[in-house]
Amino acid sequence: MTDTPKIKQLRSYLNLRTRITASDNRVFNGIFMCIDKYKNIILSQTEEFRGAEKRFVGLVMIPGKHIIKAEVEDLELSDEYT
Amino acid sequence: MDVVKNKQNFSTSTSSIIKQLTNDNTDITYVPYSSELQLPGIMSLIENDLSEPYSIYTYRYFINNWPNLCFMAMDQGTCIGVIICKLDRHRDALRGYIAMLAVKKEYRKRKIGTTLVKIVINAMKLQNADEIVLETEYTNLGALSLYHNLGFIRDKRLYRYYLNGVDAFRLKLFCKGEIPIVEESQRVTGEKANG
Amino acid sequence: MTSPSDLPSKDDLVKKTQVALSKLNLTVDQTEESTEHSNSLLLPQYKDITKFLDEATDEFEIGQLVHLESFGLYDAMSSIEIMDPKMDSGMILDSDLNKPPFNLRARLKPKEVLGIIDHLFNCEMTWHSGHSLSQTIFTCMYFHHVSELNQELFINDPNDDSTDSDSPIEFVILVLKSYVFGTIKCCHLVWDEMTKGNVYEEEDFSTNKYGISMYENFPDSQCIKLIEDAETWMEQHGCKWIREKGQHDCENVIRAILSRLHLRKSFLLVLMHMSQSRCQQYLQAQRHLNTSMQLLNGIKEGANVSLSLGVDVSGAFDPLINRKLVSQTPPRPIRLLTMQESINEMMNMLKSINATCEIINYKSATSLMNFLVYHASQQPSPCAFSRSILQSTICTENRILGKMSMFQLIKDSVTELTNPPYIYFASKIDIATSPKDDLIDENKSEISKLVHNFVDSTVKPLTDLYRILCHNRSRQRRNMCKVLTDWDLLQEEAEHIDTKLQSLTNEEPLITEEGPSYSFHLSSWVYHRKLVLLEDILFLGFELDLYGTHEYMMIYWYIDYLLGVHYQHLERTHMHVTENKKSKKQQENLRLAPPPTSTVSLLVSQRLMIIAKQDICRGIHRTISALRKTGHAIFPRLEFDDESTRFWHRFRMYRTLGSPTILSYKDFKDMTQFDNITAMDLFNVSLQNFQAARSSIEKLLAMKPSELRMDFCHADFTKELQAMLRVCIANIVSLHKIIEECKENEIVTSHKQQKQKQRQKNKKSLTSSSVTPSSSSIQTQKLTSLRKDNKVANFEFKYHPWYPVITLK
Repeated sequence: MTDTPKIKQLRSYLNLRTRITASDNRVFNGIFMCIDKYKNIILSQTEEFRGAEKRFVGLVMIPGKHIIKAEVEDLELSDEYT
Repeated sequence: MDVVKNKQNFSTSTSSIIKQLTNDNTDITYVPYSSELQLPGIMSLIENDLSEPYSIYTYRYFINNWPNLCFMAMDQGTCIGVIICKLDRHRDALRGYIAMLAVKKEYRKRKIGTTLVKIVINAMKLQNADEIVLETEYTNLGALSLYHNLGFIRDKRLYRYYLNGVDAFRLKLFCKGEIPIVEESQRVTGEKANG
Repeated sequence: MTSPSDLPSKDDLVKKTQVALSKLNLTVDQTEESTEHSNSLLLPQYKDITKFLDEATDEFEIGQLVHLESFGLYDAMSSIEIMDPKMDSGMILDSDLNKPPFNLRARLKPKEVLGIIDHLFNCEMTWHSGHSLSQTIFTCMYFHHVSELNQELFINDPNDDSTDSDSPIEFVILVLKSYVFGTIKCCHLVWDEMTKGNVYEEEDFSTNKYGISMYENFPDSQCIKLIEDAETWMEQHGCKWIREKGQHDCENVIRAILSRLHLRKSFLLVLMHMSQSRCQQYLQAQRHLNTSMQLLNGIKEGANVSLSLGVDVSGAFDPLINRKLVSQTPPRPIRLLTMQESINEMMNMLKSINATCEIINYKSATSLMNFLVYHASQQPSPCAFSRSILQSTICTENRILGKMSMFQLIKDSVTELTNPPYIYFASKIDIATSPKDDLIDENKSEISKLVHNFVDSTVKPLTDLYRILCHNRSRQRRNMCKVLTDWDLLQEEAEHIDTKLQSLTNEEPLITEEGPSYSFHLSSWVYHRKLVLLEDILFLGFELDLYGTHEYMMIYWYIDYLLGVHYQHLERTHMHVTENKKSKKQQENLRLAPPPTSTVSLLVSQRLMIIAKQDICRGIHRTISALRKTGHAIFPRLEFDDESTRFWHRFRMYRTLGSPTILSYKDFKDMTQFDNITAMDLFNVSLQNFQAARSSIEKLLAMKPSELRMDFCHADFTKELQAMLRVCIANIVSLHKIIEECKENEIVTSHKQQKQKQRQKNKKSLTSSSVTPSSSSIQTQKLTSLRKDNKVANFEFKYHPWYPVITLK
């Protein structure tokens, strides 16, 4: 099966640092590994933030229904700083 | 791993097993897994039943890799029983593994679980399995007797195996008889002086 | 009162605690937040893809996944699902929101201190029983703040509106503090032991500290001093204050607090002495073990009053700490032990450690092994800590009991059983001072080299065996199966060495009916140990409930065979030990050990035990055979079961061994069919088996601990013999009843004459195991007639985990 342009674009986000805000306002910052039709996202090497409280949670799966915001590292912008 | 939808290659022999085994149960039908649309039904059934937590990707690991070893018991359009398995090499043996088995409460005591297990045993035998194993809590008498009645033996006891600290039994069914061992004839079988 | 100099500098401890707490994130760390802001320019910039995700996934096929090539479903399986309460430790639950606040400055009342002490003790023992630190000890808020419990904490408290009637702060800064510190030190010493790798991490025990400090630099001795200060303060001031409050149960409260302080101190002393290298302070440890056990007994006896005295302090324990520490695995369900359970857990542990201290008074290799065997079989099974301590005691850095070499132990072990010529294990000095003999002198270095080769090869299998006996029961069986081949190879090697030693020592064989027989001292010992393993693997299957009743006959029949082989082997060894009649001259030269009465009595007792076991097993499988004939033991056909396949797999681990000869399924069928023997005859023969076992056991009961080499476990040994005796008696009673019932059956009586005639003939065939086919029509007739009573065979392991009592029910 060939990817639609959008799926192709989504594929290009794999392996990028991704920030997901969950329904309880926790923020998960990790590397985008996998996603399915229900937006169940798997992040690796993830850090969890609850306010200023931070902890390492490793490999996590954030169910699509609990995602209120998803952000991916903007390579063009980030590049300016590296 | 991406999509599991091509069910045409599902062997005719397996479907004949299903027919054979399920002749007398008119209201319940047994179907092989065919589409991820069935996944939510399967998951809600198992989540109510098993103590260990699984994410949707755990189901996919088994079902996407071994779609022809997943069967469902259906009442009309509802999934009321399911069995999920895998089959791969373990040391020298081709080992079938029953990962999950669940039957909805209201449908128990009707041999639905037993039928599901029989279906996978036959399916695994067709795929040349040497043995079939699974783990169950040593206190789960229902499961123990179900598998015992089919000929499974308790092969090992696993101390504090589950998250809740309960022991497990490793149950095993042998699909093949004696395996001739070459070394045996080559070895000196006499006990020498210690006979 | 404690002087500040007794304690590590306050700053030091506060700093350490802060490190621990920042890891714990118990408080919001302001500094971290500000750093993050200042660094924000260096962090990646993000773009919002929330809406894009919806659009892109809408275009997914059913079941489609987008993932990194290197990341498969197998990896995906181990991800933690966020917002699933069973997996997500970071979720805020309703119970979190109602979490009571913790107030470190609370002036605790004596009963509240007692409540915390007892809860902490339950946490400690729950940890010992296999749960994680994060769900037990680490839930105690005072654990994390123990070093802050000082006078300053209360003096500088602006919110302190305490009055004179409030409890003295010493209940917190001395009594509670010293107890908590004592507990931490105990846990730390246990942790040190448990990280040696003697037991299975996660399965037996959990040592993960999650980066939390156990105040490693705070010396044990200072902790003892601190507890002693608390004891002194209690006696001089605390008790008086409690009495002045004049509550009706004040004496109970005083006793409860003091006994817990005393117990903590003496348990800490036990652990401190046990942790010294080479078992050097076991004697001192035992003194404190006795004190601990007395104190614990005191607490147990006064349980009905003292255990309910403690009062809960809100916020003092926070189970959520676990969720903060353990982020990468799903939280485990946990139930803390009750006070009663904790006391029992500790008592078993103390007893087990005490028994371990005893064995350093080494008596013999055999008695050491016997101790391990009985220790391993104890119910409830010994806790992980005591099993680890035992392993460290038995063997650390190839030193046995802190003092012996493996060479000495192997020498003793072999000598105690097969009594080889003195020269085998003699040291160089021994040989130098021994009488001159040309032949021996010529060969002595060669002999010594061969024996050393044997010892070198034996070290690993033997240490493995010791270690196995220190594992949990399930692992014992699994690991025994794993080491079987090692012992088989060792036997083969030992046989080669024995053959060479025969010629080097000019051994003259004994002349037997079967021809010349050589002693094979080394390999005989190996074979003996291997046979014990073979038998125990099958026996343990009963204890672990691995067999279905339909398998009992097969398993007992096989054990019967193994025990038979073992008996013959020891008979042969016995013959060589006692009839070692060489020429006078040769005997002198070889310097045979003096008349080996200990070896003889050991062989006698071993053989008695084996024959007793064999008779019981034989009685059981024959009774089952008979009950199959009478129709009382019919096992329904199991759909995918095939008995011959099952037979093959149940004994597969014996298939690759050089000896003993593996029996086949055909052997089993041929030897248990008993076609030409009536059920009644089989019942009678079984009866004789149980009676014979009974008399063997009674003989064993009359032997001395030293003759049996049961020096460290004679009570356990006697207990086992008595259990076996009960099994015999109960089966004899049951068989009499079954025989009576059969006699009453008319059909049986109608065939009586015919059977009587057969009986003599049959008995013969039973012992020779030869079988002739007979008419099956009688069988079927009998089967249906006897089943009139509708009873079925029932197996109960009520006296011994290995041998059932068979009744009809």
